[in-house]
Amino acid sequence: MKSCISLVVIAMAFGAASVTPAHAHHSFNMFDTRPEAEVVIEGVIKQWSLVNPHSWLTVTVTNADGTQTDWSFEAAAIAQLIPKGITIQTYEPGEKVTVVAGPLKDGRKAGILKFVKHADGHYTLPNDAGNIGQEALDRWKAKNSQ
Amino acid sequence: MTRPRDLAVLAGVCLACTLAFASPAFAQADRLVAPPAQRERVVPPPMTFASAEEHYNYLLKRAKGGTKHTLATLPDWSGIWQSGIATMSMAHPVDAPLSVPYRARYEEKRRQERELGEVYYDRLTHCEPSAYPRWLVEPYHKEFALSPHQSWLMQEFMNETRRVYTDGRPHALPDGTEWLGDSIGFWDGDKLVVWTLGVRSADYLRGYPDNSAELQSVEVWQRVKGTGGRPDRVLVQATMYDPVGLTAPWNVATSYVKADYEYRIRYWDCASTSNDVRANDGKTTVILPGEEGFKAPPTDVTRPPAGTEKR
Repeated sequence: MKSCISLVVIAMAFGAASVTPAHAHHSFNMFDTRPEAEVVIEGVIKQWSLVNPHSWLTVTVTNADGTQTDWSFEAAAIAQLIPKGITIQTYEPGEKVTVVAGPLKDGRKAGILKFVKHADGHYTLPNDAGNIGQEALDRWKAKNSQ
Repeated sequence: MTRPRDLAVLAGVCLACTLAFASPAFAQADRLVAPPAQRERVVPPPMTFASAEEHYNYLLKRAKGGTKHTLATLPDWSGIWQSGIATMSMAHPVDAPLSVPYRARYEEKRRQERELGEVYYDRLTHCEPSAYPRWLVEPYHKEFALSPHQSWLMQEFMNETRRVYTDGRPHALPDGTEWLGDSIGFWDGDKLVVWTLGVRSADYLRGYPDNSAELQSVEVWQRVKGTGGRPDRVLVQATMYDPVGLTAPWNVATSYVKADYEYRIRYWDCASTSNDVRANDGKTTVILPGEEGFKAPPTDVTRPPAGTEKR
C-alpha cells in the first residue's frame, strides 16, 4: 500500500515465540501480540488520553492520496505509567512519532501499544501487557543496528 | 468509633507493579505467575482447622486475646506498596484442592488460554471490583492505614478499601454478599490477623480458579525485613476455606514491596473511561472512536507549560 504511512508487518527473524500479555483489567485476546504481526505506524499525535484503566494514544497518519486515518493504541493505566515517568506531557499533540504495536485481530485501525519512537530519536514504553514493549524495542534496535 | 484523625495514613510508592510488568516471566506464554525467586514461601498454619472460625479463634486464644496497641506502638506500614502479583505463591497449575466443578471451571480457563493466549473475558473489563480474594494480588498499588481499633487496607484499583475491625466487634453479615466481604481482626504483636467472610462468588485472578460466596479466610499480615537480597515487604500468609470451591483449606502467600518512587493514589475511574467490552462471541474487544458506544476521554486535562515539571 503506497502511502506516507509506513505500515509494515514485521517478520522479525528472532521473534517467533508467542508473547502473551501479562495483566490489566481485561484480556488482550483481541490483539495479535506476536512479533511477526507488529505494525509500524508513522504519524502525528492527535490525542493522548492518560486515564485508568487504560490510556490511549491516537495518531493521525496521512495517506498517499492526502486522506487521513486515525489509529488508536491502547496503553497502560496511569498507575503503571507514572512510575515509569510517563505523564500527560510525554505525548504532545502535533508531535511526529513512530508507533510499534500489536494490531487488532479484526483489522480495525487500532492495536496494543508496544513502544513509541519520538521525533528526536528517544523511545518511550507506555505499554501494558507485560514485557512486550521492551522486547519489541530490543528487537527493533537489533534489527536497525545491522 | 474510630475517627479519621485516629488513622495513621501511610504514604509512599511501589515499584513492584513496574517490576511485575517488566519481568520476563510475565511475558512467557500463558502464565500469570511471579518469577520463582520472588514467590513468597507458604507457611501453613500450626495445625489443620475445619473452618476459618476455628482457625481464627485458635490464633486469638494463642495471642491471649490480642495485643492492645496505641497509635505509637503500631507497626510502620507507611508508604505505597507494590501489588502482590509479583510475589504471589499462586502459579499454574495451581496446587489448590479444587472441588470437581471448580476444577472444571479452571480447566476451561486453561483451555481458553491455550487457544488464544488469554481467557476470553475478564469480569473486570466491565468495571467490577477485583473483590476479595483477588484483591490480594491484583497488580495495583496498595496503601495501609492502621489504627488501634480498625485498619484500612486500600487498593487503588477500583478504590477498594478493606476495613478490618480490631476493636473486638463480631462479624456483621451484610445483606447478601459484598465484593470485599466483612473483616474483623486482632493484633498479635506486630502481626495483624484477619478473618474475612461474606464475599461474592468471584475468582483468585484472571485465568485462575473461581471462589464461591462461601469462602472465608484467615490472613496473617506482618511487615518483614528483607534478607537474602530481598527487600522489606508486608507479607501475607492466608488460608482459604471454601466448602464449595475447595475440598480442603488452601494456603497461599503474597507480599507487597515498598515503592521507591513518588506516587499518589488517585480516584480510580472505569465506568466513564473504559471502552473495552465483551463481544458477541464472548471474547474481549474494544470500541474505537467514532463507533457506537464509544466513551470519549476527558478533555479537561491540565497540561503544564512545556519544560516544567509536573511533580
